[in-house]
Amino acid sequence: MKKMILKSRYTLLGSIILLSFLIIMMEGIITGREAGRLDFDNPWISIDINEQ
Amino acid sequence: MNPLISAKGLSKSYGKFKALDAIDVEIAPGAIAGLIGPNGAGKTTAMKAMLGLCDFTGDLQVCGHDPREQRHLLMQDVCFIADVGILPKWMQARQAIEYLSGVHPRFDRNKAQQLLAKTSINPHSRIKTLSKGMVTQLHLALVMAIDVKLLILDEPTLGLDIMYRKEFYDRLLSDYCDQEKTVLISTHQVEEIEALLTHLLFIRKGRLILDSSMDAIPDTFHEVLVAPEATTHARLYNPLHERKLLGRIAFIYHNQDPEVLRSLGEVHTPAISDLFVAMMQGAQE
Amino acid sequence: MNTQHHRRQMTSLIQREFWEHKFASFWVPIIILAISLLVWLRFNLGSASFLVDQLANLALLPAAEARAQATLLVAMPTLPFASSLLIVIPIYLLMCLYEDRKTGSYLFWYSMPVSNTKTVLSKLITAALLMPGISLLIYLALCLGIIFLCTLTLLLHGEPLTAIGILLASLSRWSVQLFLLMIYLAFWLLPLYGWLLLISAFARSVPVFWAIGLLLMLALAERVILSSSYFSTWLSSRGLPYSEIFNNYTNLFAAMPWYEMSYGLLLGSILLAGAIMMRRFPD
Repeated sequence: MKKMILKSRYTLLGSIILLSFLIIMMEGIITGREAGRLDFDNPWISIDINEQ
Repeated sequence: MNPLISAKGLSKSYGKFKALDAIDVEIAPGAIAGLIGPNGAGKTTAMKAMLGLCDFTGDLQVCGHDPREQRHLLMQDVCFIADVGILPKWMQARQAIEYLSGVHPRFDRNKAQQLLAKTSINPHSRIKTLSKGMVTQLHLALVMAIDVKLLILDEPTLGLDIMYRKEFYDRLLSDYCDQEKTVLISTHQVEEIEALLTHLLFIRKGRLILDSSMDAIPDTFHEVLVAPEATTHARLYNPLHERKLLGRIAFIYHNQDPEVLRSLGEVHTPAISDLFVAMMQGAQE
Repeated sequence: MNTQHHRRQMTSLIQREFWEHKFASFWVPIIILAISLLVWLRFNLGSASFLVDQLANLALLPAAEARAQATLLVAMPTLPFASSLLIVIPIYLLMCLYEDRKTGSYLFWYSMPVSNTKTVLSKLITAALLMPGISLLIYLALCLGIIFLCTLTLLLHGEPLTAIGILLASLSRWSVQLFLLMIYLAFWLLPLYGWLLLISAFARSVPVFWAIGLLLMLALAERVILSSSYFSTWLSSRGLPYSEIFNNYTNLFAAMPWYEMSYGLLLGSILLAGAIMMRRFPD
């Protein structure tokens, strides 16, 4: 397994991307975060000067 | 004693091109080994593999470490100088010393400063402003201040003036090398290092074609100067190589009975550079 | 090896990053400081009486309103610093490991007894803490300089220094806020930093192309093949920090999106581990 991943830099990059991608997919499916919920309400740091 | 470098079936290919083709070699502690071969023979690749700088197949142990897995441990015991100026261009000489003393546990800062003071290099000048000879001087000063077991030099004097070249080897060997240090030098200019070596490795197209101690050379290789009329006879004994030399023909033989050879003509030990040419061309045929 | 050795190595590695990137990490904020100061002087010192009026006004306002006004004043120079970091840090991360290999001096770096883990971590610390930290210090110096000038102006006009106290209080609050934000961002943006380092260690040419292209390709591939968009949704949700953190800095722990944070740290660590392993392939 380790040998296969470390065979070349391409296999390594592929494995890392695949792993991250699968985690994101699984997390998305479990928590039900779905497509289309692109939330651009708060794209920038809003500075609220009337602090409490 | 355990060998310091030991390789078994060391191979490395770039696509279909075999840069290293199943090399088996062992280098004992204290040896000064010359890795000699024409350009593109695999010298640099072999050294990079030993330093953990490139991937390979086969077994390789350097100072008891696998270079791929334990490069950072290995580098405590190994120093490396390459032909190209590998010191970072933006760095100042002073910063290089500072950096090494923080990073390298075997680096002696005072020694490096003393060595640097002997040169004409200004500690505050950036490496990109130094001449090639000065960069090599600086690198040598840095390396000589590190107490390592193994020194790997890849064509260290390539592109230097003859003056710097001589000084390089003089300083390296008189001030630095002792019984405990092992050196592996690659070059294609054999004459330059011939006198220093205790061990000889010839490499050609990724294959090791000679692996011998210097002491063994006079017993295994002979050069015979043969008169022109005796050449046909001399060719019967399987010479490695022949060339014209001052009206006579010089034949180089491997593992031939010296008694027989003496009957052909004047016998002596070939110069390493002649042996090199003989083996490189011999292997071609 | 003992901890002292590790600490020394790490210090030297970070110092090396500072030497090499002195322009981006030190001179860029200094230049921005100089420009900000000039702009400020141009608008305020030209008419000292205007400044005095403003400061006197500040002292007369009700406490809460005065604080808000003062915060606005000290927060103003943050923007140029923050935006320069938004450009400098990603470029640094994307280029650092790539250039270590590309410049021919990779043989030097690789022949040092430094583990790949330490090398990558030193770059991460430089980007996530050192660069913003230096900027923050320079920002503080700028604000203190301006407040000092205000003090001088007030003294020359024989006015009371009430406004200065308000300004200093706002500055210290704002600085703590910025410091916490810096720490928070270092963790929040770990997936991005990890990704940039991974690509920096991987790419043999044009790392920018790889870094952006691969993300687009992944998002597109998911859309076309799986007709879902978990990846792009997540990606855009990560773009910038939650503003709640920023506004609730007094109650940081309550405002922290703990789940999102730890999830990001997990992915960031995977990408960082990838970058560390990628260093095995220098050529």
